[in-house]
Amino acid sequence: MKNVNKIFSLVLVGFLTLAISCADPALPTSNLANTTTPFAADFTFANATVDASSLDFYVNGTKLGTSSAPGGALATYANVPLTSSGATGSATANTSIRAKASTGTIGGLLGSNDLIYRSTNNGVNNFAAINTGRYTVFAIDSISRPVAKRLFRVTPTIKFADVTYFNPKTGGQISASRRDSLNPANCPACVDQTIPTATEYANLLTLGLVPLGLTDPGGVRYYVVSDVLLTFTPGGTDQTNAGIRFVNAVANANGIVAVPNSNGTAGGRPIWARLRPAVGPNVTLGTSTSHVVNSASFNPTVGSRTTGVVTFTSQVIAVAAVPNAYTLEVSTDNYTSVAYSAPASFVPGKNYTVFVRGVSGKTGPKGISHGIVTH
Amino acid sequence: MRRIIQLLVVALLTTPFGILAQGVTTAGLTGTIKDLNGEVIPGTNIVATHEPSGTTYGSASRVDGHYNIEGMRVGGPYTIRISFIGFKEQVHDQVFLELGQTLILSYELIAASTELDAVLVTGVQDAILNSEKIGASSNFGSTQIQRLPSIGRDFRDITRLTPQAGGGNLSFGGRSNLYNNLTIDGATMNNVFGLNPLPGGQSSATPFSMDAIEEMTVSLSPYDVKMGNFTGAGISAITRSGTNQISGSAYYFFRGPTNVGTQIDGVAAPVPDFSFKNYGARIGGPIIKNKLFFFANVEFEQRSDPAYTFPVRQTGEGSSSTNTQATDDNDPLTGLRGLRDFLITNYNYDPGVYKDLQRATESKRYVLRFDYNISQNHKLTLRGNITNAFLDQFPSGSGGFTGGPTGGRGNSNNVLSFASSFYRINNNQYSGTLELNSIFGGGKYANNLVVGYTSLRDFRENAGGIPVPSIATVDILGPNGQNLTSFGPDPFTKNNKLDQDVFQFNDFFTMYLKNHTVTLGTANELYSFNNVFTQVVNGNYRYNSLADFYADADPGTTGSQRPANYNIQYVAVAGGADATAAKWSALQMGFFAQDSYKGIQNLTLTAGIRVDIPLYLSDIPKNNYANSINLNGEKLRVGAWPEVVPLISPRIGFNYDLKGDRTTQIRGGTGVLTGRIPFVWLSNAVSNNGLYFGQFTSTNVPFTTTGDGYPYDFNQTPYVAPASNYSDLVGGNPTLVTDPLNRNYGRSSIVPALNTVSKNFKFPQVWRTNLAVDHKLPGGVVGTLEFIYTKDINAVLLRDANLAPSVATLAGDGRPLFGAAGADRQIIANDRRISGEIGQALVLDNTDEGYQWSITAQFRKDFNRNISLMGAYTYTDAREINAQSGSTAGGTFASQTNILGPNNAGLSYANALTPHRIVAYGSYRIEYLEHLATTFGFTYEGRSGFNWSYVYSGDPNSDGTNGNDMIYVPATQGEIVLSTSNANDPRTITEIWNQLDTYIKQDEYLNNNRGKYVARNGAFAPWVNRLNFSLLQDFYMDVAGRRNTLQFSLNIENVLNLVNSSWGLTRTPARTQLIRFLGYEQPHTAGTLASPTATAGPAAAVGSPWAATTGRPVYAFDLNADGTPLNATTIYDTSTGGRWQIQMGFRYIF
Repeated sequence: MKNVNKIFSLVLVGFLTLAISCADPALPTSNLANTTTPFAADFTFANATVDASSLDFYVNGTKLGTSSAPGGALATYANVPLTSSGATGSATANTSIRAKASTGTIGGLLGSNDLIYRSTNNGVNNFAAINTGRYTVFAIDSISRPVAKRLFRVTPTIKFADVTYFNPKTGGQISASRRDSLNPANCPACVDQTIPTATEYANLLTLGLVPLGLTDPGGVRYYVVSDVLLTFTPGGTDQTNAGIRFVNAVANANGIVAVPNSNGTAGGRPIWARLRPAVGPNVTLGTSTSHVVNSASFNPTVGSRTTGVVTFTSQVIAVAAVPNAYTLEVSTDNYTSVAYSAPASFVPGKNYTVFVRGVSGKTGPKGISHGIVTH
Repeated sequence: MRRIIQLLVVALLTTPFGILAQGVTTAGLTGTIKDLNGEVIPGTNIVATHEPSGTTYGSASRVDGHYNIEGMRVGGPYTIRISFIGFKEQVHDQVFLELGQTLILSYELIAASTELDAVLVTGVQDAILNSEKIGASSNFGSTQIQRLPSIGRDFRDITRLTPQAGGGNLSFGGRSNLYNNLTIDGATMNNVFGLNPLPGGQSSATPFSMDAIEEMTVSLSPYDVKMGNFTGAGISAITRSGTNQISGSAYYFFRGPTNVGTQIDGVAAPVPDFSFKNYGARIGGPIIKNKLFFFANVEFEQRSDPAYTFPVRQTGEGSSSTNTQATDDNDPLTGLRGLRDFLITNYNYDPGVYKDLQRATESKRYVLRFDYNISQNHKLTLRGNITNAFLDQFPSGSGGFTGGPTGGRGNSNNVLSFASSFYRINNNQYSGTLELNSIFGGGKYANNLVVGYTSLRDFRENAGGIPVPSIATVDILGPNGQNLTSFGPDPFTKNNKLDQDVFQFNDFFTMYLKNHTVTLGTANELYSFNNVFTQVVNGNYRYNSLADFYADADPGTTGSQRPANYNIQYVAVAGGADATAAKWSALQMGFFAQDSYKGIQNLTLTAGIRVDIPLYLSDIPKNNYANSINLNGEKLRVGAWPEVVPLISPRIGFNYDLKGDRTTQIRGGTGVLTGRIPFVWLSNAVSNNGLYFGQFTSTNVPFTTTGDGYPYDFNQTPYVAPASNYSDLVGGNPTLVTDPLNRNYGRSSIVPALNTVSKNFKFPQVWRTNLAVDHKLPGGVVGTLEFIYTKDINAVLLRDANLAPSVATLAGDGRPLFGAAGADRQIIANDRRISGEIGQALVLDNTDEGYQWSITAQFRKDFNRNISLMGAYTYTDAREINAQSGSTAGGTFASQTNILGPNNAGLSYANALTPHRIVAYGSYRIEYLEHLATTFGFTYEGRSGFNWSYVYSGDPNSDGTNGNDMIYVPATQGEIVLSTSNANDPRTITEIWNQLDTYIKQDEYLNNNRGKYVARNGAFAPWVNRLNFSLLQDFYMDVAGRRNTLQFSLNIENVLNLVNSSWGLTRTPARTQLIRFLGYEQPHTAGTLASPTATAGPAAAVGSPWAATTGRPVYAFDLNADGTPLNATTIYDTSTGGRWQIQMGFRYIF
């Protein structure tokens, strides 16, 4: 019996040994393509906001350059690796774009100090950069840009109102299918929303037809421009010309809502901009420009926007008397008066973006000023 | 003899064929009668009396002194009387028989003239150490069933105690739980269609009450050819019988939220406001003493659970314990109150409530049994049972033929669907069986006849038992991109019903010859199915936001909108939904012969052969259009059944008593087992024929019906195809409708997914071998070492016959890369389809790849009927190509996670594999103070955690199936291209890699496989310990000579967790789709480019050919929802089932 017990025990141990010596499944061998990413794009950044004090710019989580105050910009492009080529059909929105306030927040309505780029109104897709592309990312508008909301009306019948108005007095929003339906004189029974007073009604800002499903948090936002730089020939135009383009980022130039206009509607103030040299003809940058160049589709109530190429114009800037030195003049009345002027200098053979920011009609830090991005 | 054989043959030829569900229902006695000199005594009378019922069984010893009694009642006590002229009568009492056991009791008779008076039993009564024990099996008697803990009062808590069981739901030896055969009283009780392993399983009901069950056995490797129809395990249960005494019991068990642990690992865990109660009664007794008996059981079970674990958020309320999206207000993006009011006001449609909703689960079970002792040689049993069950279920998150809404429709922190989307699944079961056990020729012959019928009626309604309206399902996404809410009926509930009818006829005839026991028999099952399933037949609207929905549904808005998508599968044949029913029948016949030979001392040999013949009895529509297409030399067979081939199962087994004293025996055998597949896989081939339905998707279907001319809308009769565009069932041509909304009929639509069966498809067969040693150890402990090896002969394999070969290798890790689907039905280079005329074409086929083996060390000690202990350790390895556990062919195919493509999934760990498992149980009963008795019971299960496959989210190999590509584990950052998850992701690429690298380091499996692909089901959750305890406190007293007992019961599940909230916990994988595929560095460009789209950087030229991607895949390693990095492989199971629970109960027994 003892021998049998021993044999039983040995067999048991043998079984247990077998139990822990099981072979793994046969798996194919990988054929790894182990290389670094061959794709990259250039990014630069400008703070064209009214009041976002100091912004740090990040691409794919990495901070580029130093902080930019309103009117400030990065000194140069940063070459950023991309995770895909961005070619047609790519499903990869490959580039995260962020701007953070160095201190404090950049918008109470935004509720944080972190501005993200979103490719759609309410989605969370990144920016889709293209290999070897160049981009200038502007932060524009005010930290107090209202949140665009559609509100639900219960009475007199349950309907969905799609036009939203901002009440500067209360800081709230109200929606209606027709503006006059919010007139307290016309709507004594509209109990489902706070009907403005006559004064408030007169000063309602139209946020407009709010895009469906919008989740825009308000506050500052992005305007991303593709850059196709002019090339200058050594010994030729590189000694006299520079590529210059103009971006009007004045918050109330067209439909922006930082400050109501006297007529109670938002935006609509045109501006004119030119470069006046000490000697020689002026260089016209913008004539009664809209809000931002080449952005006719820019909807005043949505967040991030991308436009295509904003072209640079080759301008003769190296005039003999005072080479490269200009005065930037911004007018709101076609130069009957000059609302803003400041010196600006340019170097031949380079490309520049001149932008104006602030609020037309304001003075001080929120008044119109400019910045220059050197490309 | 000849007459009996003739009768048997006549019976076989004239009886309608049924099925073969060969469970065991009785027990038996065998042995040898000798005198004190060792001489055999032929002609000895052996009479066994089942004392409780007075049922007697008789036999006489044959010329070799052997006797046999078959077809005996399980249990006891029996009194056995052995008498022969010239010898003293021997009386042997207190003999108990287990289910399926043939107890060996041999006797030595004493001459009448001798003074000696003792009963000389020379055989052994041990259930394990006897010559009849050959294969691996476990028996659970009434003692275990009554005393061991089972908080769900579920027989699976008992079968789970089988050492070779897996950790999951009714899986054994690493095989799919759909490959078992469950019988009650010999009648099949399977859900043969296979939508769940058990009838009633979809409504969480067990098919019978624990109070109605007398005993159960689980057979894994039977070499008795009578047992068949499984390649997993054969589970046999028998119901209780009445006796000469009226006896019965009434009981009530309950538990609720106060009986559940409130902490998990020291952290407070909310307990849902649920209630559970189970109550019923049983009674048994004589109708005619010693002759006719009855037994009846009725049981009700009711459970109520909150429908919303994350309730709607009130205005101003935080979202930590509520739904993160839905609000109880008029918010235009999240307000459910406003949405409900809107629908009532504008559409006169109430979508139902969105808060304070309870889900009901109920079952009612009835059993009635009669036992009729026709004579000493003939015993008749008639049993009927009914189970009616339903469960109110969350709406399905699936989309049907398209993907479902992001985040699903069910209960989650993001989704809160209206009550109208919940559905009720009803499972009704009606079963009856008649069993006749006969003995002929003075015990020389025995016959067992079983005739059974089981009817299953499954159907769906809206939750609450409300008829399903013919309106669409509407899904609306919320601000975070996940589905906010759904209303309208679940898209899979309309016209969803399944009727199953199974007729069964079994007959086993046994002849006891000298040294031979020969069994001939037949086992037959006839299946009839009628399955109607018209998914998404009412259409499914998807909106990207609530605002979008309002804009579309409110005609007064100035900003009109259409849904982001609209899907419908419409009926494309005359006769409506019923005409699309998969209505068919099949017959499986089984014939067998077996000999058990005992002519060699200490050795028992069995050898048998069984032939199973599956027959398909119904003609089904052929799709000649699809069948004519050449798929790289293969033609589909839509509408054709496999060729009929007899499936032969030879088996041999042995038992050898090593020393002749039954202290050590070696046993084992080898043979083929033939099972059946879940018939839903075959039914898929009937209904998914490309003829019954048409499908389309659109983004131009309005919600309203304001004179826009569209054929239907949200709350009207759904689209009906015009008769001129019906499929041609005679000619076998599918519907050619492309876009009925725009009256655009033509041939630009592909035929939807097809299912078909290979010409040579065979039912599953395995070759199973076991070898075991049973040994009596010191102290009366019986130790067993058992090895079981199973090799698949015909495993089920699904392949897509229309999947083109890969077009390239993926630059990332070198796996095959398939083409992208073309935008139209024209075949162009690199399309993943061989033919653009049809979509996926799944062929049900076989493979011989796959195996399972296990070794078990088991120790058992039965002190007496009051104390018993068992402990066992089992190591199991199981490999398979697919889990063979899906309820549809498409689902099973999609689950074939792979590296080399879904048609080349390769062998890997089985889905049901539990490598290490320790199981122990025991019970102890003590009676004291004349009126008190206490019974303790425990079960312990320690096992490896469940396994899973690490896969990519998305489809990097472009095979057309998301989530089936297993990951390559990067060894360094250079081996994977990572990107930010989305615009909210603040991490740098290096930070993302560091987080992924940290995750891999902490995951032992991944860290050990760096630089390699993972294996399917290769990752395992941590070890699980589960100790359950039961306490039965009896207060009894005798009234009129009968014991009357009041019993209080306490059932504690997960005792370890009760002791310490950090113990006894189960962990589940935190994220199996570990890495998310974003796209390629250089993506596919379908077709030829019409125009360059890039305005900066290099632009692709017009007319660029469509080529396979040349770039590497780009992946994201997403953050958790709370913004933290994923840094642990598993998380705790926070459900109530993962913590301790206590169930109390009261029972009156008389």
